[in-house]
Amino acid sequence: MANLIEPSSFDLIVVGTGLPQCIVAAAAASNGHSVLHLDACDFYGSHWSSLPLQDFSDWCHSAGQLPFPSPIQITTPSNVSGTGASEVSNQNVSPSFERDTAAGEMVFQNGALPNNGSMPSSREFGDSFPENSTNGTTHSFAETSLYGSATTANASLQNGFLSPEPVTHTEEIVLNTNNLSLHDSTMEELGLQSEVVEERSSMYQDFHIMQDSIEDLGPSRRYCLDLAGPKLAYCGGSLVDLLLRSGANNYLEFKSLEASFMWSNGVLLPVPSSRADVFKDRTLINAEKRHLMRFFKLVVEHDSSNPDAPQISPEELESPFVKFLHERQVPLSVQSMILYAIALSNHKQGTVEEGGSHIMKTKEGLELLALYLSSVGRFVNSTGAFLYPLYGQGELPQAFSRSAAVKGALYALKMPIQSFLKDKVTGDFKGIKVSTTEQLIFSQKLVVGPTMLQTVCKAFNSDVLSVEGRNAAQESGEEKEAPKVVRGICITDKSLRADLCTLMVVFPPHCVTVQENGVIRALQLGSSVSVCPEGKFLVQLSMVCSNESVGIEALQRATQFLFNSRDSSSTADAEKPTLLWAAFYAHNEIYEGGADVLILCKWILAGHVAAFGMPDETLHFQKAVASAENVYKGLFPDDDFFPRPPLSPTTTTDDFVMDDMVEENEHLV
Amino acid sequence: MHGRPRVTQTCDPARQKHEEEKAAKFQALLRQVLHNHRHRIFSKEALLQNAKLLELNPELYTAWNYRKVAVTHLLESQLDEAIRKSIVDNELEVVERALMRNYKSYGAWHHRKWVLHFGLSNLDKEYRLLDKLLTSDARNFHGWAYRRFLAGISKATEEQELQYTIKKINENFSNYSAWHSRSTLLSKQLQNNIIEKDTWLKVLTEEYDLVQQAFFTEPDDQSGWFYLLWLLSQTVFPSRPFVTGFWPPNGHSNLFDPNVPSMANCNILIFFSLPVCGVNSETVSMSSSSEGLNSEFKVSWISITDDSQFSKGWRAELTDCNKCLEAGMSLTLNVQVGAKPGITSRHGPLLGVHNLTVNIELGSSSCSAPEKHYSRITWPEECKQTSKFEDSPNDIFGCPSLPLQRHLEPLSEWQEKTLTNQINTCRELLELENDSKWAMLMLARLLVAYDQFASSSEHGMDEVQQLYKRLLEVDPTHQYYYNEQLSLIRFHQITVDLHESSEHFWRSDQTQNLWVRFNHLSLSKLGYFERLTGVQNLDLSKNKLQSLEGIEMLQFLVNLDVSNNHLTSITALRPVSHLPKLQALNIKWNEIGKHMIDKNRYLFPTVLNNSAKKHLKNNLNKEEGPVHWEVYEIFGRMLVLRQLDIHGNPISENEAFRSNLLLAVPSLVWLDAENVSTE
Repeated sequence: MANLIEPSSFDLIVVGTGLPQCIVAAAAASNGHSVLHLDACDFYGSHWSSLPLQDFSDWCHSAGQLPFPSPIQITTPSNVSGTGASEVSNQNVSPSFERDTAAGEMVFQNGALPNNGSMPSSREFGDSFPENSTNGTTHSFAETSLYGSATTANASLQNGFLSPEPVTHTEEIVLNTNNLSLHDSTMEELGLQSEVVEERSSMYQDFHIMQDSIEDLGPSRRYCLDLAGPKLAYCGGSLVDLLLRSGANNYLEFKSLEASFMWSNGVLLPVPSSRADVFKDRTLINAEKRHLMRFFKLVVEHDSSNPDAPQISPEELESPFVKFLHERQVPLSVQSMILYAIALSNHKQGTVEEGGSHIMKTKEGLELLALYLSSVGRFVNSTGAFLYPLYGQGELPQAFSRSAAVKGALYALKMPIQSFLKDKVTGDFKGIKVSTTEQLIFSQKLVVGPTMLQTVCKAFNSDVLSVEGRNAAQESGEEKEAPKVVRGICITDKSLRADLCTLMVVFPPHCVTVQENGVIRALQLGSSVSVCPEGKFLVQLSMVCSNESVGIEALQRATQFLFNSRDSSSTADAEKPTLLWAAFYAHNEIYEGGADVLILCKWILAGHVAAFGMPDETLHFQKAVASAENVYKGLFPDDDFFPRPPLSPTTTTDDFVMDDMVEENEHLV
Repeated sequence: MHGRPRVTQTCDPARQKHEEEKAAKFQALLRQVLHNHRHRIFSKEALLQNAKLLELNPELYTAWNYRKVAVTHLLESQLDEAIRKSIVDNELEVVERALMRNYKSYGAWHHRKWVLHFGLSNLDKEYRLLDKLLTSDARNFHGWAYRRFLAGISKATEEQELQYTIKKINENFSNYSAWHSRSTLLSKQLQNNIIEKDTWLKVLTEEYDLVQQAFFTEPDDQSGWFYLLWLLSQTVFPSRPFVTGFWPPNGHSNLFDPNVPSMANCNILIFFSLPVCGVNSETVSMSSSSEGLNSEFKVSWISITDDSQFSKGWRAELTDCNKCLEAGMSLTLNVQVGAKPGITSRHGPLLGVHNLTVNIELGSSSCSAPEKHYSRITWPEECKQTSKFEDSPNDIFGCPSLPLQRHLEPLSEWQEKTLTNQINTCRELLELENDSKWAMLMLARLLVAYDQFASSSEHGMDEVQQLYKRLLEVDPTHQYYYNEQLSLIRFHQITVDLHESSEHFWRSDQTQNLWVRFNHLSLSKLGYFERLTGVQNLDLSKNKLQSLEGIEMLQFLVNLDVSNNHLTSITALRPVSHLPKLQALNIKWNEIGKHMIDKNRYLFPTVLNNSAKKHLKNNLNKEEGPVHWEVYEIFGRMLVLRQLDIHGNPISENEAFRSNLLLAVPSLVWLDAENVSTE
């Protein structure tokens, strides 16, 4: 088998290309560590990806299995089959080489999305791959399409391991044996034992698909459906910050969310978030406006270093945010908007007497509000606080991967792993064994995604929770019941507001169902962010709940509030969009325990192994970024997490590319 | 475009060299274009060169003019509509490129308007481009002006334009350009009678509501407050002038001495609430009880202020044409103002008709024959004598208590309601924001206005004073303004019942002159001059005056003491130069000479204006030494000035100044303690 990975030892191995994994990989690469990043799927993003409609529908029908078969039939690129080894060897893709942008480009053209024309044809990943290799052509690595594979070929050649002639399976084993990789005896010699990886097949459940047919919805590939939607980035948030620091922003374009609305008895009330909104809002009386603006000012100023800034007592900071809002005379009508549409609380914020398990503290609320307000107007061209990436959320992990690759990380898709290697005596992580080639790759550090979480637990059960995680769990007292997230995605025929394209609707608790205390969010996206064909709109929904079926029912009811159903044309409200297609599903076990920050990274084992959970329940990326940073600090305690480049006078953060900015320069008077 | 720090460019040799090369290329291009212009070469290439030049520097107006000539030429010889259109379109493109370089170029915008007048352009496209400009720079006043221009020629309805302004205001209510455009559009609607009076009140009420949203959202933003000021000016403050006073008061007499220079012969004065023009023998009719005398008088109306066109005060100069009047004669004049149209301010015609009956007594006035020997007067401040006044105030004012003119019409119910509403709104805001300077300032102004206009003066000035005192603490940057307002209020309180007490009156033992004394009062600004008309001797010493603006209203002043104040320049004395009877002026211990020009005024009449030139021609002979222009301009007009006390100013030590002064004021007898009379 040709495509061995070379070198066989890395500072860090990352498995799965979810957003936090990609951030960790990019951070490690930017600090000069050698990184191997693998994914069993043939696309980037794992549970953070965006899929074409057909793929998404298939994914739903397979009850959310990743990796799932690639739906597109593609013939093997003609130049590949005839590729002689010598030709491959001309490529300068060894990990030790500095990669130019073109090389990076190549990776991402291929890996951008599974529907890309150059993607491999293998439907059954696990089976077809060895078959290909048995066929003995060197092109099999090319089919995996990735950088890492190509590199391997080249590197292997240089090391003399790759035969220019077609090789048989046995020969490969022999070779590998020579490479001290396969035999148990070798393992024995090295003092290693292997732990077979048992990946969870699906992290999702309770799939409900309305309207099976996707025939009349337009070309499948014009859709990008986020698996973990809805999510938005704060303009002033940590994700944007990381994008700028890592240079990953060069591979992305954003549009801002145009408006937020609050559902109130069948009416969409605009959420006042800027002074322009407060000015326009005639439902607020004079004094209310003043109180609200003063409150916003307080939020912006209280954290600043200015000694004259208003002070908030520590007791107040620990008190419930809703109480604080009340005390600061924030108009009642605006309180729930602040709580659910600006501070983005996912849970009902009742008074202390009413209780509730997820009461937002004033400190937390103020921080989120400050973040929100600093986000509004951070970029000249953005109208609101939130950004959404063009072509979907799945672009984010790709952008970070790309930035990692440019800095030397090695990438390989369609590369499942068979087992972990661990030290027989200490039980420490030592490396992995790749399924397809059975190659042994060594590393001291490992980061995996949610599907391998249990295996990692089992394999390294000596110390399960990280110190931080355990402390946090202890502090919070009893173990909280794990909340669950239900998500939905709808395709409609027109916008909820004729004058807007991207908008969010927030259903405060209990306005759809009284059985759950969660907030329902509906994010409408359109062709302006290139996630669906023109004339169609996507609406992503999510809600945190304790019971999945109740949650999904609530989401379905919310869609009934917003849209006409396709068949009930008689009762239709002409103003409303018609629901053309919808799917609902629940995440399995987002997290356990109560550690807030470490929701995604569940275990950091003695600074060596970390696992990220499923995409979190928040609307933003703050938690994902925080957990990635935590994991990175656990793995490489001495490193800076994306050191800030020295600020040159010419480049400011305003260089952040937004789609509008490009437009603006076109034809300025 | 706002709040961006300027980037200072460092100068390195390579860059400088590059710049020099660029300049040389530019010069060559400029020469070529000017050559084309001179020889009327309108070839395609010539026009391209010109376009290139304008793209580099849109400020070259000559180049724009060349284009205008060229386009006119090309269009004249061209009849094909399509080609004509393409010529015009090309012009718009050139302008567009020039505007990209500098979108505040007057020349480029002007050219664009000029091109549009051919009516060959697509106005929709203009709107689209303009929209882009106003999106990227929402406060570009060129853009807004151009938008109004477009609306004019495209016959866009005012309603559409108003909608546009509200859209922009909703985007950012700090955008004063949008507010301003809104006020312009609304005024236009009113002027063109598109809005009925009743609707207008409704519109204004809605506007009050709108602007209220702005200052309750952000009380520190000035755009809304400025718009509110405009609204108030539409509501209460009449944009139309009215008569505030006459001299002599109705039914009283004045002395006319046919033998003195007409300027020194004060006869009839009319004061207006706003500067007006059009005061002449046509608009102010005068009829005499004794018919035969009418033709003997030649009446000319002269502005008593700097501005000879628009003035708040007008003086009738009567000339005895036939020299047939004799002392001891008396005639009664009926004066009628406003019966015939013609008197207007910049905002509207005069309100109301006013009748006045005046007795003119003919006789010899005190200044008829210039005294050979003028004995130096002693200023009240210099006298040891304690305050003493046993006369009647009538002696001071030359008449029994001068009736003060108030606003003619009482406020309408709506006006009063609106004013009260706004006062309450400001109070509401102040309760929420104790330190809001705009709310305080607006409330103070509203209360003053209410006090002036309302029938019942229920709001005391105490609250206003408290507000300004708070403002001094909160906003020390504008302390001068607040102090001036406080000073005005104090002055108001002093003068409102001036006739009732003798506190400010004083009789000099030496000269028996009756003085009005406002010394030692920390006054920084004066007002309410109509209450002091007729005063001959005024003491304003030991105050904080920086300006004497408005003092020209006191046409009868003979002796004026403004020593120990903060006057900083000769030009600050300009109002004094309009006092025709002034004989003695005390400006000791000021700061004159500290500044060349009066820094308290916004507009400086150039030193080379006509009056200055005239004086220079007359007075500047072959004298040596540096010339103090302002001396000739200001003092040159004080024809009867005998005594000037100027000691204690930076300029008083200056020899050149003294010699200039003596030349400029030949009538001067006493300069400080020195007798400078030529005899």
